[in-house]
Amino acid sequence: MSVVRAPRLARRLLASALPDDAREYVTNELEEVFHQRHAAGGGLHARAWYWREALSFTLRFAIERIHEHATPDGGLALNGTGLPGMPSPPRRGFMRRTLESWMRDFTYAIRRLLRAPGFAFVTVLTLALAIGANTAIFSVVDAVLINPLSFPNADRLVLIRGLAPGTDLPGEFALSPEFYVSYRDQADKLESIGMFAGGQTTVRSPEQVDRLFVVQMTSTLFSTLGSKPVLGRLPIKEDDDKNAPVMVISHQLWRDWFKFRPDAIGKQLEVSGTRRTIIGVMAPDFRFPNANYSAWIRASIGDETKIVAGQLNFSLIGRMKPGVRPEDLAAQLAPIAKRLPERWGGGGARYLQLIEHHRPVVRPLRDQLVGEIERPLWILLGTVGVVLLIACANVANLFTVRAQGQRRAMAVRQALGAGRATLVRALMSEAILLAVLGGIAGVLIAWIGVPILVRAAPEGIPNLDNVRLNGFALAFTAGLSLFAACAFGLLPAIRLSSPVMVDDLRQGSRSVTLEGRFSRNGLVVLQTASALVLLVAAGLLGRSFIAMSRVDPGFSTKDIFTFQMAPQRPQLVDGPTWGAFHRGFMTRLAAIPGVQSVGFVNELPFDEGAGRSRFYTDRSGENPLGATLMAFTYSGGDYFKTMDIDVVKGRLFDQAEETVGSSSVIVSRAAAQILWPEEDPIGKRLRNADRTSWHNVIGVVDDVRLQNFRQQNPDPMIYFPMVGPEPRSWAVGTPAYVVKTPRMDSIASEVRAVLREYAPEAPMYRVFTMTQLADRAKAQLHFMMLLLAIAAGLAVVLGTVGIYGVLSYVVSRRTREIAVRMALGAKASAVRRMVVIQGARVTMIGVAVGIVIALAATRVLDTLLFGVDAFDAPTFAGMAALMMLIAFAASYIPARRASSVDPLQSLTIE
Amino acid sequence: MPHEGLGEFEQLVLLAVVRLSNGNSDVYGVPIVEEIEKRTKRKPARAAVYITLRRLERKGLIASWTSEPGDDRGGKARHCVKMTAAGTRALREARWAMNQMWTGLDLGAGDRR
Repeated sequence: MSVVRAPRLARRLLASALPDDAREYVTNELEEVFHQRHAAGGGLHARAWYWREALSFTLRFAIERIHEHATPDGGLALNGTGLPGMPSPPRRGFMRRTLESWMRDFTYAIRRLLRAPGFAFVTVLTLALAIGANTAIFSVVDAVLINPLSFPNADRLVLIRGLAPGTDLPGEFALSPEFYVSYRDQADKLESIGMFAGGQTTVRSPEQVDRLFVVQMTSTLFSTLGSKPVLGRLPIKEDDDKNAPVMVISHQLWRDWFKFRPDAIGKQLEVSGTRRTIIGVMAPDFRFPNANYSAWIRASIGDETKIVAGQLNFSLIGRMKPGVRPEDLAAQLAPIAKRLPERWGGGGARYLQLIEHHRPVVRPLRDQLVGEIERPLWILLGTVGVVLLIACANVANLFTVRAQGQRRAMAVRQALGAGRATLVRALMSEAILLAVLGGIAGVLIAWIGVPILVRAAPEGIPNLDNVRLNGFALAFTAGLSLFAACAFGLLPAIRLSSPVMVDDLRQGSRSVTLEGRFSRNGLVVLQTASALVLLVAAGLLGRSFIAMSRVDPGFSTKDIFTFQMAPQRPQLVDGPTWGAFHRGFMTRLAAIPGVQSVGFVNELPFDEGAGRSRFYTDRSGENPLGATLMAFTYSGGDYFKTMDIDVVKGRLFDQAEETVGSSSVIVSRAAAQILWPEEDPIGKRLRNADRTSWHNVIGVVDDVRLQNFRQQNPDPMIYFPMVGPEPRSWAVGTPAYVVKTPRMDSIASEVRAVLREYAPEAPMYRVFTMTQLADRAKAQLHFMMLLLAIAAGLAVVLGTVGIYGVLSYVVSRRTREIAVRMALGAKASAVRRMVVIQGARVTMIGVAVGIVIALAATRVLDTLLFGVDAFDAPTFAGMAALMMLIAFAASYIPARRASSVDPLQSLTIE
Repeated sequence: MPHEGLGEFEQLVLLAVVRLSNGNSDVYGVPIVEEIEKRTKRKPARAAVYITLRRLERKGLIASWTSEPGDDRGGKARHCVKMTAAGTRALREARWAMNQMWTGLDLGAGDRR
């Protein structure tokens, strides 16, 4: 006897599907055939056959059971006697009965829907679009807003910064080592605290060189965050004591540079010219301060008693003790900061002024990370929520209309004694079925849509690389589907199953019931209003985008290619040597065919902003409290010409003073206005409060916007030449080059070739076109505008379908009445007008409601808007008119149909 | 017990039972499926045959019993069936109805596969 047995899982499935009285012999006999086939055709064949049979039996027996249950004598005959008058079989359990009757309802629902494929398709598509959009946006919200941090107990992590209202410090500022030490020693509401500063720097291994984002930090940073390495160890106190040059690298750097080799630990990298030993590798999800950073180097404060106060360049991150609120911590930190000068001394008048006005700012790390994107994302979620609402209203409408067609069938069932619950369940099963199908299709849409969304999203959104459809999003979708089912299934179901329905049977009623009309019109009002709100929002963002595109940043963005490079050679030691290096490079760049001009600037507008310092002028004198805080940078070559920044007055740096160095300086129009109001700035003098040399103003140039297009006023700027008055004044190391050329498509590779020849050791990075940078500065608004426009478009299409559906239905119900009117002499145009006016009246109410809601709702957009008011009247009026027009078009088609009614025909049909 | 006429598939299954009952081996699901397959060149769904057998039994047209577990199949019992008097009557009625409808009609030889 063979020991081969049929597939276990299939056998189980089969056994569970078969009725008790058939289970044993059917499985036995199938097993018998399985053995024959096994012997004849081999195991694989027989298994496949068995699976097919098991599935077939399962399905057919399931349907058969429903049939048995549905035929009234089926249950009776099952008791085996087949004789009437015998006691019925014992009642089955409640659960099983309920389950079976649901099963039956679903089977019927499938059959009914198969007979109305158009209705089913439109419903599922509508729901799928809405649910898909909601799931996609929710996945983003979940990753970015709800779980942006991968640190344990991340809610206790706070960023500590400072605020000094009444001084000229702009807004919040970073802190300095003396804050760190004092907070660490004296604030008992803090469990631990770390200090760090980040930036881009050159990192080299024997094989590789690149510009990477690197954090300098105290060894307490990792313990404060609570993160562990996946390989090696983290810096400890002994490293501080020995001042060991150690570093930790990111998982990505480990992959890219070391191919996941464990011997990366102990290897050395050169960071900013200093050799450091890798002691650990972080986990892939460790991103601090953001995903761009790939290395963390331990830095020490040195001798804590010798800190020079006032170096406001560091960020402090604290972990609060459990139960402490940020405001509690801030209250404790405030007096500690006031006592800083007692402990550390020094700092000067400015520093004392700062401490006097200082207020600590304690903000949850999460808020800091998601701050800017939080509101836009909630707005998006709200928007797609509105789309879902409209979709549900639409489907509810379709359902009501469809259910009206089943009134008679319902009434008959009711007359035959079906309970109300039974009728509701029968109608609900269709709704649930469609909602589930819509949910499945929606997940599919979200699955396709999420990667597209992530790719289209603007930069700077934390944790975006972790956005995916997770269990949470799926649960969310399941909830949405169920909500949708209830929203569009329950109401018509309850109404149609109401006892008065039996009257229908007697009357053969054809009129449009008042109650039905009321709720249908209500749905249209809701749809129109929601669609209008989204239209207005999209319109406002569109106008903002247009307004922003018209802003002149003060420089040209056309045909400008920009990049940075980081050479490393021993002869580059001071201003003149670096200057000669840059000049030589620019000469070679200018020789590339098609290049019109070449220049550089230390910090490029729309990319790195600019440094800030305080400046004395011959007017203010050298009084620290009279110095003015202002942005400054260094420029070289034909920077102003390349960027098309106009010279307002005086002249630019000439080549001679660029090479040997000079004390010339150029100021922007706004800077001149602030430093020497009402005076000619040419020939005036200024001095950086941190340096000793005075500079003569030789020219005034136009203002530029440094940060983005939203800036109300351009920053006042001071431009120093690339070589200062003394060789040691400064050296411009890694500026941003700008190259003007119409040959944008080939310039990058040509520049690369020139660089490979001129400075093969230098990595090239921050490669952009100015157009890209300008687009990036508009990216968030663009992204929001696009998504809201899509949502509004979806809402309008769904709303139009809704209006059209309702009017079509009303027309079809009133065919007889219209026929009578026309038989009595009503003109076709009058009939058309009647229908259109009916549609217009409902739409108008919807528009009015929509305007009121929009007035309240568009306020949430205010941080996104630019150059347009949240209550912008033209936008409101225009969108309301558009909505009316769409509604008119949607009601015209049913109106045409109504007016083409042939009175004779439609009356004789009755 | 009043009953509607036999369905086509029910007739096929009943006729297979009759044909097999003339032999001397057990009449149960497996040979019935084979018999229908052999004669009609159609492949009936096995599950449909079993369900039909249950239905016919419920209508009282066939009777069933469990055979003695034979050695040839690992000591497992079979669900054997045979026709009842009511079954014979139902088949006769079905044939009569069919004949009545066919009498005098000629659709040609057709294209039997």
